[in-house]
Amino acid sequence: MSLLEKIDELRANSVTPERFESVFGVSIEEQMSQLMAFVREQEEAASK
Amino acid sequence: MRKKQKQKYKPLSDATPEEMQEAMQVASYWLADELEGHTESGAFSEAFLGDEARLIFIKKAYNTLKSPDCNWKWKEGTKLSTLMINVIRSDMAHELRRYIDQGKPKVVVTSSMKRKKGGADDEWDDANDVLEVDPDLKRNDFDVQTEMEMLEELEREESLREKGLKVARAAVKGDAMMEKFVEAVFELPDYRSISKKLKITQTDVKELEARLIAIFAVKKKR
Repeated sequence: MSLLEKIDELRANSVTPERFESVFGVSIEEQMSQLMAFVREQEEAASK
Repeated sequence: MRKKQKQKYKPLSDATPEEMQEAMQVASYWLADELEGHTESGAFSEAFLGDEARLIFIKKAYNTLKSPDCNWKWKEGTKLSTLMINVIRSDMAHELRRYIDQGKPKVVVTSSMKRKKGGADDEWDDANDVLEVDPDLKRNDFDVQTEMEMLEELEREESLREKGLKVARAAVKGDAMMEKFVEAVFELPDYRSISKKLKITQTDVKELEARLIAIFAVKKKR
């Protein structure tokens, strides 16, 4: 893993759920729920 | 001398649903840090992207990684989140270029005079009258807008660099050699320049880099 990738990881890990919500206006739970719904849609479409 | 090991990759189809979910969560947090204050307008706004940046970049990265034609390689020993962030970073650069290119004028305006067909000599169009022109050009602020966008982007890059430097400084605080190394890493372009500046061999530089990565690995857990 390169240094830049490590710094990326550290930056991601430094963001709290509260900061995420203040940046995007939704909770991380809501974000993940929307992303998981998208994944399910994609999987359903692929299986048809 | 150590022999360089050949990089191994694993197929993306090996990614478990849990790994994909974790990658999406880490990428979401990374995007919050990356895009803070940059989603209201410009290249990462919903108006330009057609969806919120927090979702669209991750959805596109997911589709890219799931595609059978995916050109991205997943290095063995690295997390899927690392790869996903790299895919997103690349896509963000692409969107930024698209945004800047879209602002370029589509009509070239010349000041040459045009004679009206069949008209008398005094029926010349005024050379200063622009007949067909991009609205931004007509307002004469196109160049200013583009320069401001470029400046904004430079400021954004500078701000990200500062963030990286800040976390690296905090990670090595108290270790004089590592502190010097971190400053050199962010100031100089390659191993050679760093080794010259710190008066150490390039092998030593690589060892310091490995130490810094190891420090991050220990500190990363919340």
